[in-house]
Amino acid sequence: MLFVEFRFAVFFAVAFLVHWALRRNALRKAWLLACSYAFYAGWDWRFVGLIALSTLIDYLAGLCIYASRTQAARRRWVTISLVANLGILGFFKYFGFFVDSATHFLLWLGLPTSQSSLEIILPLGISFYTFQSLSYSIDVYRGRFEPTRNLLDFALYVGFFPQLVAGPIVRAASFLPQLRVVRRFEDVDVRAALVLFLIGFFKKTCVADNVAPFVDRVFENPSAFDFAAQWMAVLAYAAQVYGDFSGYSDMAISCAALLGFKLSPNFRFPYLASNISDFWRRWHISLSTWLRDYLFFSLGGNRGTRARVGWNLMITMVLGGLWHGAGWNFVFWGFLHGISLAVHRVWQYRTKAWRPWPPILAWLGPLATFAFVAFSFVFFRASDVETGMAMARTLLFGGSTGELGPPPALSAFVALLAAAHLTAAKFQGERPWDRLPSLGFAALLGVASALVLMLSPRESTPFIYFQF
Amino acid sequence: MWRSSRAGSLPSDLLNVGVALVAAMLTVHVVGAALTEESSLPGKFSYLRDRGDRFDVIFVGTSRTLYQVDPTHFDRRTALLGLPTRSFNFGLVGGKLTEVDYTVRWVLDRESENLEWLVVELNRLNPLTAEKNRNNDRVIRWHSLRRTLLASIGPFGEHIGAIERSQTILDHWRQFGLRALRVGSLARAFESSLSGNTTDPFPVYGSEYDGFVSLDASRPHPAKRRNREWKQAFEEIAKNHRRITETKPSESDEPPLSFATRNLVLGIQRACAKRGVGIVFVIPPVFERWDAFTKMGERGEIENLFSFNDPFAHPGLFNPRNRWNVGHLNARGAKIYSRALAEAFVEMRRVRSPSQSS
Repeated sequence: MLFVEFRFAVFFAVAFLVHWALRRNALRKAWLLACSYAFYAGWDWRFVGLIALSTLIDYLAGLCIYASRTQAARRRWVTISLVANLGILGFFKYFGFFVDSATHFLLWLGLPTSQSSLEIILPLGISFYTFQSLSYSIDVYRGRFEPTRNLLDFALYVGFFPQLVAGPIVRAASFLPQLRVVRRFEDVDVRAALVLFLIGFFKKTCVADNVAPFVDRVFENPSAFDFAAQWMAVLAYAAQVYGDFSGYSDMAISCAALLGFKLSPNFRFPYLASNISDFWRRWHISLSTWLRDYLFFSLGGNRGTRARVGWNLMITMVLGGLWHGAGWNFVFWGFLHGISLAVHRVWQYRTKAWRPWPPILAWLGPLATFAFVAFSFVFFRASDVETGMAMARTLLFGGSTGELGPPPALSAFVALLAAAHLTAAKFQGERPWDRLPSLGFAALLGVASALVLMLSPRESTPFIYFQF
Repeated sequence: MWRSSRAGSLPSDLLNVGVALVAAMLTVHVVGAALTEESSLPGKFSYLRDRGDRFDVIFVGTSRTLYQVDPTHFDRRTALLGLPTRSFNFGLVGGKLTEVDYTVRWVLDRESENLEWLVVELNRLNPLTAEKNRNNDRVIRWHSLRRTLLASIGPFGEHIGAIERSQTILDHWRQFGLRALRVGSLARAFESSLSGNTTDPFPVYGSEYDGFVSLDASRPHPAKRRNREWKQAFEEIAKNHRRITETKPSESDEPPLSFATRNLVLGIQRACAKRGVGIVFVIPPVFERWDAFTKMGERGEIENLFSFNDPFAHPGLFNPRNRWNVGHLNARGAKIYSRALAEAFVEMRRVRSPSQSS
């Protein structure tokens, strides 16, 4: 059930109305948990048990870690949590990848192998909820907070449907306290939530889904397209993945807000980042902070030599790339970002004396960062590394024999999107709709909704991040 | 809205929701008026829009029209019999009676000067839609309020469970909503310019295009198909032939016509009468008795009815040599059928207007 489908509107309306009709907090939470599991079961009921299992493991692990008297015992319990969560993730997501890679490697060595015929379904959202669940037990281990004794609260934290399948990855420290408080509808900023939902819907359907056909055509057969068309496809894909993912996040955050929960923003105008480090503070914020807090810092973080820090960054980004997909193209994408982050660190160190930068260079940073990020998306989108490399070569050095050019309308559309992005960033934080009277806001919302629906393709493509 | 004190706010909230809905509908109406349906018409619709004035007889129906009515043979026969026609085959694969209703009204709305007759294939309404077609333009296009109501009524058949029935009804209303709100209409206007894909999914039609598609031409001839396939098709045809010839009318277990089917059929007839276009209903050569339609003809509810589902009256149409499968005729069968249609058509014209016979 996608957020942009009609049946989700019906589902959410029911969830919303019953939630606020219930008075007791425990009943509300139970209702939301039932809705969340029903939401997940709508995709595949067989994997509801897997979320429940993951939930139970970390709930018990948290209590055991807290109750342990020795550091060794605490470490034992957190290891159990790590192994269980990563084991589940590894099996469902990476089994095929590792087997295929091992088979290819053995074949390359000239050793005989037999191909595994085990085909494993990837449960929806597994990368997100296992990371979310894992962050809880690690935070308890680190002494950040006490574990919750309320299984209902913990289950709802792991399985809360607005962010269950594609994030944002929520921290227990920010979400669990919200569950203990009885929320009031009077405190819900409904206007902001509705506007945010509409913006997310627009980004997903009117931006991402409308540019997707051209992107698909080019990536399916890049050699048929000329240099300009391939670059246009790269830019369009940058728009698509941002529209798709940030649109989903916006809708998830707004649904949570309508139910009285506050989730942190997941994107902050990433394409206006002044450098690659800034980009990762603005793009998929919940994942990048997770990787920072639980992987980068665990590896040593910024401690040690510059080479060591660079190594830590590389490992973090390579694993971050692997998190996105079981494929070497994702690993390579992560590798590119790891290299760029390491290079940026060195650059920052070596150019300390040159700051502040002259105003003209203030534009170069965001442009260069965006160009690199868009270029790296070639590997994110390509079906494999070879295809990505072939396309990257053309993008950098030209030489395409293709004759099909970019559609002029698409070029204009992408330019319009860029302008809109810049304008939105300029006015971020402002809420002009607050100045409207009630009926005026309602009318404006109705007009905007109708226009967005008319601009949305009838058939919506699945959210890109659902595959992760 | 929605950040005020709660006291007495429910009526205010409801008013705001109502205003939002009205604003949305007005927007759809105003913006939608600028977007004509014509801009996104596929294949036969756009062909008829551009060259429809040449035809005085148009056949409307499902694949039983598309693959079985050959205008070339029909026109040749009518010309030989002294009442020349220029006909067009507007059959659509997989069409439902609701889509036939939509197509008939679309043709009538063109107000073609030369159009004199519509020959409409009869069929029972089947409200189920294949999963892959749920968001298809063709399916959404016919979902007016009236047709959506009729499709929601059914019939669904005893083998359709309550859940599937409810899902189907909800889906029809969702499709109605998509049409009413013109979801995707602006996106469609920009679709080809954004994707760069300007290939017309439908072939370019020449001036001699008459809409007919021969199953023999589109797929391997039965003789060239694997023997097992043809043997199965032959056995099925023979089985159905036995069933229909050996079942007495009193033993027939066909259900009565549903309200929705009757309403659609009579609605088509009224629409044609209103526009001054003659209407002929046809029961195609199917292995079904469809006595209910026959009775409508006998009672005079249907003005002109041609029945070709009697294997005794039309043995050639039920001969396996002339059939592609149990549901359709092959090219040879289409030729026989088209000529038979032409003869029935001319006979009907002569009976109605003896002065028109040559």
